[in-house]
Amino acid sequence: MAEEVSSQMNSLSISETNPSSSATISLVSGDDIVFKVEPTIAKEMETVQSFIDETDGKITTIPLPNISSHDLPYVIEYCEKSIAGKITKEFEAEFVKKLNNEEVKELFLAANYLNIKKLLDFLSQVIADRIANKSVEYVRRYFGIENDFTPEEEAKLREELAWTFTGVDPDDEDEN
Amino acid sequence: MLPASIPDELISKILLLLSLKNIVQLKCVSKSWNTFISDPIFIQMHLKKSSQDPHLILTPVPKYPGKYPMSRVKSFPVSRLLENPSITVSGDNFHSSIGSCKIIGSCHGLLCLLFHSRFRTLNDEYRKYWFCLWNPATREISKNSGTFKDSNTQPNTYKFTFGCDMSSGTYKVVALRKVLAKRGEENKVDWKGQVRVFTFGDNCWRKIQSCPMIPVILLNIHINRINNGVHLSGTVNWLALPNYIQPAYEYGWKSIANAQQFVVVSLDLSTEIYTQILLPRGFDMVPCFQPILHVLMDCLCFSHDFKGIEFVIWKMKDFGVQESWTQLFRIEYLKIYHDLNFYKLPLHLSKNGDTLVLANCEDDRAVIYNRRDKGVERITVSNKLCWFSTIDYVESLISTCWISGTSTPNTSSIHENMVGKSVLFLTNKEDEVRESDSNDED
Repeated sequence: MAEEVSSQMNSLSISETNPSSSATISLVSGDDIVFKVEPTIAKEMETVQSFIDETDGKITTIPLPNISSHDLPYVIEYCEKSIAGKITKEFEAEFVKKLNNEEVKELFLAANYLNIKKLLDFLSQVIADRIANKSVEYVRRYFGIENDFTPEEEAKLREELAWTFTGVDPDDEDEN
Repeated sequence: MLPASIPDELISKILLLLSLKNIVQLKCVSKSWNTFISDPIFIQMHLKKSSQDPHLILTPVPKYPGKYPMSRVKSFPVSRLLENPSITVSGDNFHSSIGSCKIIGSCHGLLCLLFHSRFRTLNDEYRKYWFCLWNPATREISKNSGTFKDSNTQPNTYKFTFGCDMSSGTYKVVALRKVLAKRGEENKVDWKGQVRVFTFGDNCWRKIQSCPMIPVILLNIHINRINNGVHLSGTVNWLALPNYIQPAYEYGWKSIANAQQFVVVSLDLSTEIYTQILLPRGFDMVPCFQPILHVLMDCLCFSHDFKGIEFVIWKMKDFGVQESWTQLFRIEYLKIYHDLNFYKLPLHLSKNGDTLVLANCEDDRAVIYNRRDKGVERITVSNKLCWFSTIDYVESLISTCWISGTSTPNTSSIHENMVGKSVLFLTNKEDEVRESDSNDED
C-alpha cells in the first residue's frame, strides 16, 4: 500500500517542476500530504473551487481533512481525464478494476465531499452494480450495517416480501 | 478496517439505480433501511426517476363483457418497443390471483381495477360494482372500495375515469353516465352527462354538478372502445358537444353542423369545477369519424381525420390555452395502413418527437411510424392483446393504503340519487349471475 502512494507522489512531483507551477493549487490530504494540481483540476471539485473563490484566490493551499492520501490521487486522476474529455467506458472500467469495495466507498464519499458530480454519479452506478441482485446479508456486509431486526421480525418481513427473493445471485467472495 | 458509513441521501442515490424488486427486497437489511425505503420522500424520488422509463399495459380481449383475467394483462417498457419494433414483445405477466376485472386507469404506478357482476335475488336483479387499487410492481392491493349497485344490469352504463386530486394527494374515480333531462318549458328531453365522484378513503359516492356539455363517449356512435375520459395531472377531460346535438347512427358525424361545436370539457379533481377548452383553430372541418382526446408527452392531445384522407394530431403545450395547440403530425392514412382504417389511437411519442406508436382499432394491432423517413413498422405481440385500450404505466413504490387502515370500504353507502331503483341494503341471498359473451352486448 505504501509503495503505491509513493509512486503516485512521484508522478505528481513531475507536475511540480512544471513552469506554470506558480499558479498551482495545493491540496492537503487528511494525513498531511500535499498534492499540487493545476487550477483547472480544482475547478472540477466544486468544494475546493468555492473555497478559492471565497478568498478571492489568495489562498491556494486547501486542507481536505476527510480525504486520505491514498484516495486523493484517484480523484485527481479522474478529474484530469474529465477535463481532457477522455472519460470513456474503457477508462471507467479500468479505473474501477483497481478498486476494492472499501476503496469504492471511500472514493464515493470523497466525491460527495468534494462535490464532483460526474465522479459521484459514476461511483453510485459502480456501487449499485456491485450490490444489484445480491443477498440481503451481502448488502449488510457491504455497507457495514448491523441487522437490528429480531429473528421473528426479519422472518415475517421476508415472508411478506418472498416474491422479491427469486433470482438472487450467489454472494461473491467478499474482498474486504 | 472500519467500513466507511454512507449517509442516507447517498444511499438513496445508489438505491434508485436498482430495480424496483431489488429495492423492495433491501427493506430486510435493517429497520432504518425499511423505514427509509417506505418513506414518502424516497418513494417520490423513485417515482420521478421511474417516470423516465414509461411502460405500456396491454389487456387481453375481454371474454366477458368489460372484464378480463388479470393474469393475462401484460406490461413492458416502451423503450423495448422503440429499440426493436420487429421483435416479438411477449411482455411481463402480472402474477395475480385477482380474478377478472377491468383496469380503468393508472396513476403514479397504481392501477384502478373495476369489478362488476350481475346478481339476482328473489325479487330483484342488479349489477354490483366495486373497485380496488393495485400496485402490480409491489404486488400490493387495496381492500374493495366504492361498492354500489345499479338496477340497470347493462355492463356499459358507466364511463369510469381514474385520477389523482393533486392538492390532497387522494385518488378518485369519476363515474359518468347518460341520463334524460327536460329542456326548458317544452316537454323536450335531452341527454345529459351525470357525474359522480368517489374518493378512495371515503365511503360514499358524491354527486357533483352534471357535465355542462355532452361527452361524445356517451353518444355511442360507431365506436365504444375509445378511452372513457382522459386523465392529465389532476384533471379529467372529455371531448364534448352541446347538449342539444343528437348525432344519429346513420348519419354519423355529418349531423354536426360545424367543427366549432366540439370542445373539451375539463373537470378539475381538486375543485370539482368544469372548464371549457377550445380546440385548435386549425380544426375547422367536421371530421368523418369520431375525433379522440389522448395524452402524449404529458400534454393533452387531440386527433382527428381530415376528409378521411389524413390523420392529424395536435398537442396542447400549455394546458387550457387554445393558442398553444400545435400540430404534431399530419399523416396520410394510406401511408400508415394498407386498408383504410380510420380509428387510430396514438399511444406514445419518443422524446425527440420523431417516433410515434399508433394503435389501430379494427384489427387491434399497432404500428411504429417514423416522422423522418415516413417509415412504418408493424409491432407483433405473441398474445392476442388489445392495443386500442393500452394504458400508460410507470413502476412505483406507492402504497395502495391511502389512509391508515380506518376505512371500511365494504359498507359503502350509496347516494340516493346514485341509482334509481338500487338495492340499498341487501338482506336476500344474492346469486351471482354467470355472464357469457352472449349475455350482454359489450
